[in-house]
Amino acid sequence: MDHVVAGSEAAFACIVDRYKNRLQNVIYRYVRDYQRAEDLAQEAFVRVYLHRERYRKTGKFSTWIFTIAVNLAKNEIRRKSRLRNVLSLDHLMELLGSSEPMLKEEQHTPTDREVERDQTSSVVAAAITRLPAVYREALVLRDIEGLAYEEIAEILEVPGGTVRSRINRARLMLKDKLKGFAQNEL
Amino acid sequence: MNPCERLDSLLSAFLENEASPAEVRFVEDHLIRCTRCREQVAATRSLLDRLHHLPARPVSEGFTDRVLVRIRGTDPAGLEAPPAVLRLPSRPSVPAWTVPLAAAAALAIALLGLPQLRPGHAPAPMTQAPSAQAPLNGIASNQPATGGANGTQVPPPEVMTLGPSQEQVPVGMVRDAYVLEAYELREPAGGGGPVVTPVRADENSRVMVAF
Repeated sequence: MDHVVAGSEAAFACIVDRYKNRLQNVIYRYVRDYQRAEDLAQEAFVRVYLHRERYRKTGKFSTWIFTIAVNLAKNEIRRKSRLRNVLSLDHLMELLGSSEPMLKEEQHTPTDREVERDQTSSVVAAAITRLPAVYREALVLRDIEGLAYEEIAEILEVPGGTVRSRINRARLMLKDKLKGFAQNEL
Repeated sequence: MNPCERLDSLLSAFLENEASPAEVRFVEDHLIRCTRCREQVAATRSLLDRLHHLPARPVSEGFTDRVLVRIRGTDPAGLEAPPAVLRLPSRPSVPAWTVPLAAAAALAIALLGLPQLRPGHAPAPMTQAPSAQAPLNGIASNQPATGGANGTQVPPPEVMTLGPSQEQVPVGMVRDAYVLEAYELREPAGGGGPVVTPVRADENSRVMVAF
């Protein structure tokens, strides 16, 4: 990060490469639009670069960059609400469907097992989008992005105990939404 | 709180090895006796495993390059000024009805001002309002002046025809408003005056109009 603060473009490119997919996917869980999520991820990196001197070395860099991304995503949601041109959640779910295809890195004929796993992943992803926002964001940051509870507390600006109870509750709710699935499919 | 409810509340801590020794003992003892909670624990373990391996969609190709291009253009220490970005107003005091009027005012400036800057280009005809009103501050008029009640020359207000709805809106009647919508202005090759089409404004819009 010292090199980035000093203005090294190559060092900054490394940071972008390291976090770009994670940032896009966290933002996507809020805005549910991959194109917009990518735009906002790009904006997050621009802000990181512009404000690179404000980064406190005492904190974790991942906490800082995720905080910027989450705030951008939340602002986007608020902006859409203000304009009142946002589609309802139900409508979005209809449009996106529960089986939106994920991009595959490798192009090959999938086996039955892979198809099954993809379908299950899509069902799980769709169930996540139906969680209330405060539970969804905590669960995404913890169980998908693997951030520490303390980091999540800082990013979401809530006490650590609240994060723990939200994550626990989110998992129970998610399990409840996936009740129809046989255990071995999960 | 019955034992199963207590286990539910301890589930995450137990699975993530963050429960206290006493809590771990309670969970393990309870799991020996309770089939329902054993299934709960197994299902939660599977769910966590699934979440950890949920496929992540990668960003599109060239993402990093696009970011680098943007930072070269926006570095305040740097090379260029940041691009103009439409910022939506946070002021709730602007009544919603002023928005199309403000847009109309912005269009009027563009329609009346820009053609006059081009040598030899006659301004496109505008629709005439049926009644006369006070002159509009700061808005140039291309219409002949008409007589006012006190004998002074008072130009009539002009109206703009907006969008597919063909709504006619007086020009220049709004002050202190931000434009929330953008309009695209085209002049068809076959003539017939400018065509105004609403376009969606977003943060990528390069147009900002504010009064």
